[in-house]
Amino acid sequence: MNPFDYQRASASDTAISAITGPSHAKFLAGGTNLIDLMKNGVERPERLVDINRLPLEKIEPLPTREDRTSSQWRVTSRCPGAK
Amino acid sequence: MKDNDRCSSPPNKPWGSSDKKIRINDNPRVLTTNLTRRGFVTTVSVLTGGAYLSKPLRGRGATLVEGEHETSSGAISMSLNVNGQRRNLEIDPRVTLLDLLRENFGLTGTKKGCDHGQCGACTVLANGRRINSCLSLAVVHEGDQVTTVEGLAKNGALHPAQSAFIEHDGFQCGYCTSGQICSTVALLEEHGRGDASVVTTSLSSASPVELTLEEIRERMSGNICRCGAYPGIVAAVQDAHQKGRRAKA
Repeated sequence: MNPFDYQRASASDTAISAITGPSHAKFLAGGTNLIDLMKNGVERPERLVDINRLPLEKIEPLPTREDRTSSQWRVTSRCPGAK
Repeated sequence: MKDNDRCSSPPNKPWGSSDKKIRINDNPRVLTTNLTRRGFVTTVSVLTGGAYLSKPLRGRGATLVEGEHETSSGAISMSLNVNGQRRNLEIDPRVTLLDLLRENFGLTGTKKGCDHGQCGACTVLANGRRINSCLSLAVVHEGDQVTTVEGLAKNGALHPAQSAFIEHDGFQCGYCTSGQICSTVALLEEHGRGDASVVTTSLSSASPVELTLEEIRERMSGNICRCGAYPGIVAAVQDAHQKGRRAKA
């Protein structure tokens, strides 16, 4: 795996600004896809911005008839309102 | 030659005899020490990498340091709780949680099966949630409570899932077993919360999802077993579930 800068985002706006910039940066959430690709040298980001601490676990309806979903959702996450 | 001579010295040598079983340690040509492979590599790394002691070697090294700061070597300072014990360390961000547990903390109960997220042998619990530790960076788990198979027993008593696997012959070689057991513990927690699975027929039912054999198989499908001990594994999960229900009743 290539060496990279690791940064933990505490707020959405700082996460976004961390992503944009000169170095090739990627968001890291669950990571089961990204880390696998990094291990095989397919993905080589210079910086990872860990967004796991951001409060993004909600699905909320938007007025534009689309639902905003979340990057934080895991395969194993509970589906709210299902029961 | 008798069968028990398979491990002994070749024929026509002065040592060894066809009358007694020879072990490799009895062979005067073989030096045996208490040095393990891991000990040898660690020793060599320390001797040759003296200048790099503060810098993790390709993710294998981590020095135990108090405090929170990023060092100039690129190592990240972090702290997490493993099996109830707080650990402070500096670690290369590339180190996976699996390698941290096995190589740095010596908790080798969790196994590296595929290192790829497909087999589930590396399953541990992070804040009670089961994860493939091979695809999880250690640094992401700052402040987390990590439970490995070594942390399941309490006060010398096996976790009900552990004893269920023994009673129901839920393993052969045992390599997948620590992952199976950790998965089982989390599965029962998920089921207790009312989490549905892909095979759950109704999401709107008010009563808890019944843990059928099909549900168990689906919910354990992330943990594979090359030995094919699946009947025992499913029986063990079932039994652990029953034990949990009896304990609550």
